[in-house]
Amino acid sequence: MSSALVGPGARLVDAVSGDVLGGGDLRDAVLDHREVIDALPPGPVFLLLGNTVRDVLRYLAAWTSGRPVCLLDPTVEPDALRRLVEHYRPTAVFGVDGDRECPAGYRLAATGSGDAWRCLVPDTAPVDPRLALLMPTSGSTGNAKLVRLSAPSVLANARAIVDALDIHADDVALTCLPLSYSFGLSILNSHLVAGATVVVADGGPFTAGFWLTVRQHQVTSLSGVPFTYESLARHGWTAEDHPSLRVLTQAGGRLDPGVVSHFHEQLARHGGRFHVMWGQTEAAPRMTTLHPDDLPAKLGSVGRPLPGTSVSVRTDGDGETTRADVVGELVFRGPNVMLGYAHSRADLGRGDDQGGVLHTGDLGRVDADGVVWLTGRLGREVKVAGTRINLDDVEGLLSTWSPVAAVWRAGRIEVFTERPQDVRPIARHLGERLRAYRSMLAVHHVTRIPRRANHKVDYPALVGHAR
Amino acid sequence: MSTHSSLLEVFVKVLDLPDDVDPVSLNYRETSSWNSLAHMEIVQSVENVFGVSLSVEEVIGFSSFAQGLEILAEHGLVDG
Repeated sequence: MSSALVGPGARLVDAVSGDVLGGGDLRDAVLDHREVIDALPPGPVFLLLGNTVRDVLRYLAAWTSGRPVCLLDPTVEPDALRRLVEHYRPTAVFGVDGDRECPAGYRLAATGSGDAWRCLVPDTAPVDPRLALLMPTSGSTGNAKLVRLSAPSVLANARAIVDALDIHADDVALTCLPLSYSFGLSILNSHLVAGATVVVADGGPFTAGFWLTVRQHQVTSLSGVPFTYESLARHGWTAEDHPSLRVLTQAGGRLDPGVVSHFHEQLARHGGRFHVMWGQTEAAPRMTTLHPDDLPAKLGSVGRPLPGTSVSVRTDGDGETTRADVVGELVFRGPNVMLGYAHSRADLGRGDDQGGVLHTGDLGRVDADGVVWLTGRLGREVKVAGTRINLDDVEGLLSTWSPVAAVWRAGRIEVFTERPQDVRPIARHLGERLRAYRSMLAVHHVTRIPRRANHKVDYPALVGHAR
Repeated sequence: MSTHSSLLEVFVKVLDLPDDVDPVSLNYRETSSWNSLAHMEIVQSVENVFGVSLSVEEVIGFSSFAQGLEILAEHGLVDG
């Protein structure tokens, strides 16, 4: 069952060297890495998954080994990695370079799959046999919460995407998003399942060599977050210069409808398609797609649920409903829903907490045609350049300077402090802890952080606060 | 203000650098805070400050302070 992730004919291409791996060679290369994993004591493994062919092979090896693998950004902050290792006691951590300090209870070992940290006294707590992937829910805030995904849920989603996007064996995808990010991984999975080709490259549309790779390998499919498409549109990119491209997909947050139209029209002119998608790591990860046939009528929506899934709405007053145009929290049902969250090693033995139902935390409605429209987000999670960050976690990082209040405003995380002398140190600390999002952070002084009668921070008032 | 000093001001502000940073040292690979997101912010800031519009190729080519000056020169922004 699990090995079915790589369909017949699937190929990996190294964008740098041009080397192609497929068929028996691909299987053998995966097996080489898998032998290392199979020789380990039972338990989960961690993988710092970069956008390289070697890391993809390590990922596929872990997948076929039948044991859970936690996929992490290779630039994960040392503190965040240490905390995750402490919480989950993995049997081994792969993809660690020599510069990282080996944590207590582990030793650095040279293996047939590169340098790894080996656990000295492996944790023998049971692991649910269905568990295949563990993925963090938020960017770099160091929150140890992981999403538990079963192999069948990941496969179900990959196959539903193949249907919805009509992916064929002659398609060529490029890994233009980080593979440790659930949407980026989903591009790899869905194309491998379809027996298509995946060109493995590091870096996005604004890195040197990217468009040369698209031309050289006749790439047919690219994916991006809103930021990608906003930037491409602003800098005059046109699809006409890249005739091999047939499908562009977008997920990771709301894209301005004007930009959606722009790309839809460009691609439609030469028979291509632009797909807006809605997803969450908890749904392995994609839930809906807006098919170009629904444009322009459904412009601004995220389209229809993937085949075999459904979306309803839960409201405080009426409970759950499938009535059209009722606004509330969107509830997703499908075979791709996670088993649940994990907060510790013991949770890896938990069964299915969800029963195929996911309360998404996204607010919206479903119209009479079954098309899903998003209107906002419950709670305090925001998407920064496609990555989910909890504003409460941001405040938690700054506990030294308490009280602080973090809000999302005008495409940035803005932090407020009542002490002007704290602005600089907070900015410096935040810039270090959330390095990847540094340009999307701002720290301000405010005379008094507004509060409600119950003394909780009045975030809407703070968002409205004049600079 | 000269193109050189205006461009340096953009880098200092976006990348949170000391005012006396050596512009020769500024490049995409070696300046740690200059990541892909900061890159787009630099480009956006340059477009606003200099009133120019950069193509995708120019955005990609804008990978050091010196290359930034060259790109601005092609847009007619030359000092002295």
